[in-house]
Amino acid sequence: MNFLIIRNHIEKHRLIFAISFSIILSLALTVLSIVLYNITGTSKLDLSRPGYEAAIKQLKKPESTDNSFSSDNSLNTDIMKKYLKNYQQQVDDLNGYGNFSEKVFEVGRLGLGVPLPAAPTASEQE
Amino acid sequence: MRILQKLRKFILGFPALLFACAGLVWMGVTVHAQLDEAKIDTIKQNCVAAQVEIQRVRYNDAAIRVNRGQGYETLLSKMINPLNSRVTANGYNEHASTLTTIATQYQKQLAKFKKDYDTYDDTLAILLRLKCVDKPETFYEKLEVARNQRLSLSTDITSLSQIINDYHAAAKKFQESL
Repeated sequence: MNFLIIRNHIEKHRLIFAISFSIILSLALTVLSIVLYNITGTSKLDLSRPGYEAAIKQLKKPESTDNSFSSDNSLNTDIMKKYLKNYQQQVDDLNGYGNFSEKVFEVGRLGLGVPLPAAPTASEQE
Repeated sequence: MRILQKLRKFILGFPALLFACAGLVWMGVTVHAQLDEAKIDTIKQNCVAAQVEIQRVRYNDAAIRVNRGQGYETLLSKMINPLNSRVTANGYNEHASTLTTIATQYQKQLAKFKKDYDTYDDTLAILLRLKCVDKPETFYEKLEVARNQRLSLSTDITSLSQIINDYHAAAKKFQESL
């Protein structure tokens, strides 16, 4: 009975319901996409966020050209020699991308004037 | 009977609760021991400027993460995986096994690097949101956590470099066997 009343009501105001449903659906999808954007960690890699303009300038294109290695065909010494050369080029690119230096949190740099306790060694971390 | 059971649980649980409380107090005392009033005042005075510097570090780190992430993924998809498939397809099973094992280690370490970066970035976000003038001790503690997490990232990069070198060595050994 209730279902019939609701159905009649919807059919009478079809346009209003259609618009309302579209708005609710688009809002729900927007919320879902923002949640996914944040929980998947994509937001951390998004350098188009406000304030990250300087970071975009630091993005580097690989020095090496596209040296994709085919996963088919046979293998011989010459092919492997070329492969190792291209591999090394990509590794050299990686080495030029900077690392997470520990020095940035040194007291002098942050101007706090209070030394942090000695950092644990690599073996202690493991 | 039930009352006795509850009493027994309480008696057994009480020492554990006491230990936990003592631990928390000890942690608090440790931080206070490191920070006397003068140091706390210094942190209060300078922490806002430090936050600006930390924000700048965060921007730079994001670029490093993107550059390195892309570089590692490219190496995996364009060099490591295709060679593994090709060596397997050509029937060099022993070498294929070695190369695949190293590639698996590489993938695990890469996943760890990504996860560690996310954790580190979350800590920086907390550090930047913190009202450090009101909570200088918390700011100091979080800064220490961030520093240790950054050290983990540095270790991850070293481990990845080592695995990359191991793969190169294994590929070279394969080349010599041809």
